[in-house]
Amino acid sequence: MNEHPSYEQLNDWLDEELSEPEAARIEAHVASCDECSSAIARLRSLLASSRALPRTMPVPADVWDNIQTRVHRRSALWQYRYQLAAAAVLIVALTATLTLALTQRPSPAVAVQEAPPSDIQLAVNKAEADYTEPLRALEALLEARRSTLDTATINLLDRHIALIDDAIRSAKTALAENPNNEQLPHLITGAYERKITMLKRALRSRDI
Amino acid sequence: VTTTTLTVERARRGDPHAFEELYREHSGQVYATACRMTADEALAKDVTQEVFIRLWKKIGSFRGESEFTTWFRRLTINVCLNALNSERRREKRVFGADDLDAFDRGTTTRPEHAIDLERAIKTLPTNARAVFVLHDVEGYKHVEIAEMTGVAVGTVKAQLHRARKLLQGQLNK
Repeated sequence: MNEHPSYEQLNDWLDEELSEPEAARIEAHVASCDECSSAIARLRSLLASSRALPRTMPVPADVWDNIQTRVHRRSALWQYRYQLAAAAVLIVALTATLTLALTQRPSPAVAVQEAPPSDIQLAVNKAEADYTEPLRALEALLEARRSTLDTATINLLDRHIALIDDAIRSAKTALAENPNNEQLPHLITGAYERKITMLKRALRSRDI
Repeated sequence: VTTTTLTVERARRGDPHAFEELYREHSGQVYATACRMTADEALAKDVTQEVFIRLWKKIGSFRGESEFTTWFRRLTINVCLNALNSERRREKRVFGADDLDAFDRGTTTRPEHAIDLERAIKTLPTNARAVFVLHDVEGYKHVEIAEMTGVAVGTVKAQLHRARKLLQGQLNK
């Protein structure tokens, strides 16, 4: 190769980006050309300096302070995990106990006459309808922000929501079997309230 | 099992002390990379902060298929590139001009005297600087940089050659 290789070719040769024959041609040229040899030496010097740059730099102290503040806010829900778990377990335990007690207690015929099952069922249906829209909005918001929540928080939330949903289902099953019972609607609406509170808290905690 | 692996495992379980240990061990490197990539210390602070917030959010999903340090370096680079993209969009809105063109026209401030390499890197156009830091400082290959930045390998090479040429010019003044 008599003609000088271009600056790009010299770079590619140094970066081992050329095919073997082309690399051999440039190598031969560089070995016999002072100008290209000097160009390569300058490039090598630059690369050596670049690779020798310090790997770390002192980080300003306020960076960690800001991270701590943001992480603390984010993990607010995580800090409530024991209380949330206790609340969810309590709901399930209450539902199970009440369901057992209510399904085992025979309903007096007179009670059926005083409080027709359809009225209670209607009241529950209406209460559920009132919760449907806010819950749907909160759940949609949670889905949209799911990727921004940390894994621990989202797992915790999913587990507790599943527990509350189970409690609601159990109470509704009990109501279907005891349609004249007036306590079960309170249990169902209480569980819905709990679910809304939990979702709101989760959405607040991601607000960083 | 390395100390970092154990610390990562503790952080994965939500141990805040482990998270702080990871910060103490890696923040200097994140900040150095961010300073060089962005050429802006305020932005580098934001990037460092964002990297560790993302680490906190994502560490639970880190399953150890790759080395933590490899995974974390990649996370750092992604946050740097996102910051540069946002900055570039902002600059375009403000100035309406590409930084490369501005540099070529000689409108970028150039130091009057010979300067050290760190300062010279800061004067590079954004894209050339990012590619130079990724290749020559961080040690990534052309094809990896092309994948990270979403441009062709040829473009990466062109930016790298341009950066080296500009740096040599600056350092030889």
